[in-house]
Amino acid sequence: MLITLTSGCVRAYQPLRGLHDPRIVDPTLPNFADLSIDVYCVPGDDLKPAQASILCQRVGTLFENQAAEVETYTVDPRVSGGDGGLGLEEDTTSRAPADLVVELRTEAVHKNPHPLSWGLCYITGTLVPAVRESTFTQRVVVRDSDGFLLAQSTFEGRIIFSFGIGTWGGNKLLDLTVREPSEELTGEGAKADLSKDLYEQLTQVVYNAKVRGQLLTTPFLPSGR
Amino acid sequence: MGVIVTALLPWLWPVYPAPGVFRSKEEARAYHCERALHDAPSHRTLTRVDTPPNRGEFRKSDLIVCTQPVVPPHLRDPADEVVLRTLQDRTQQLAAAAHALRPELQSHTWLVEAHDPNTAVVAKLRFATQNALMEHGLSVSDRTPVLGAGDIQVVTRMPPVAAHPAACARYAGTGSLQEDDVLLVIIRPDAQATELVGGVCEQGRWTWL
Repeated sequence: MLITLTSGCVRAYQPLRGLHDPRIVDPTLPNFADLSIDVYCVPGDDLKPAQASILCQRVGTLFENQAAEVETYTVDPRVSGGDGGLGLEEDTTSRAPADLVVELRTEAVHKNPHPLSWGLCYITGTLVPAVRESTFTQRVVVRDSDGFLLAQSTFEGRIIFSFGIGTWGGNKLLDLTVREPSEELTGEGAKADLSKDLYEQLTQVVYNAKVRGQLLTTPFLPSGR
Repeated sequence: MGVIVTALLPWLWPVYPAPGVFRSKEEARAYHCERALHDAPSHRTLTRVDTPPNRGEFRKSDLIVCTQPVVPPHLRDPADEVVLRTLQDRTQQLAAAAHALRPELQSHTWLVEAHDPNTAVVAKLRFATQNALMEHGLSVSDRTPVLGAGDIQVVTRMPPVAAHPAACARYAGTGSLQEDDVLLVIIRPDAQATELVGGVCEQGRWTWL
């Protein structure tokens, strides 16, 4: 009983694809000045409407901090009539189309509960760690005000959750004695690492879309032929 | 004894190559992994996944394909790294887009020009794109169209969005780009952008991909 009560969990985040690619844009700078952005977080089986709303608010804040004018939606802004599904009283039907529309879709592509490990964990009083892992994808699509596709990307990562006095104690001991703070596994580092990767990659994708949009919409000199 | 057993238990369930006791977060981030999916295989996982039997499988299969880059992390500039890491994919996409845009130019000779602040990246971009075009059955030339000194003075003062179409017109005007030549130009449109943009110049007409 004492062992069970003193058990803890270790949550490890591993970027699989795209999330840990190099990024160049600094999200602390006003990268999107004079730009209006609609952020549409698509609810689904793996992202409840409430979670989609929270994701939208956070991503909206990310772009607002970079000087963009942001509206967030959890239903398609092209068909929602302007309230974005968030129940806003404000009439936004007369609002000009946003310069960029960022569409976010989250999907859990794989879940493995490792049932054998949970059985052994129970039998041994959490000495043997119980493990659960899930792999998710975050798809980002950026379009211009006409719906023209400017940029898209799919990021993939996984979260490995392990529970037990053995795994928690061993890792906690290493966190206290050997590991650097950025390398610690027993705290909230996994969430912070995932947020940092995701927000910086989102910034890079939207910046790429902004540059591409400018390139394609700027008139150039006639060829002369 | 109990302490030793307890300390060893975290080693029992290594989830490769996630960070853990044996592998730091930094080491885990050096891997580039992809989960193999039957319904959405990629070229990295396609050959490693068997076709599922018609009546389904009793046991659930699970495969993650990981590769470790030959070049250590942080050795190259991030702006170069982001292009070179996915050089083949990027150049194949650009070549496919160019070929799809103008399929009637199959019999023309394709020339490739790349623009990047790093000359080593330029050479690699150009070579990889030439290979990608050849994979589409196109004839590729190593020749590079040139502009006169006066044209260069004018073109280099223009923003990229105007400079490339203007250069395209001059290539045709001066005869540097002949009637049966097509020039595929690859540029990084902004120093902070990680996407490459391509454009096709044919008989003085410029088209962004």
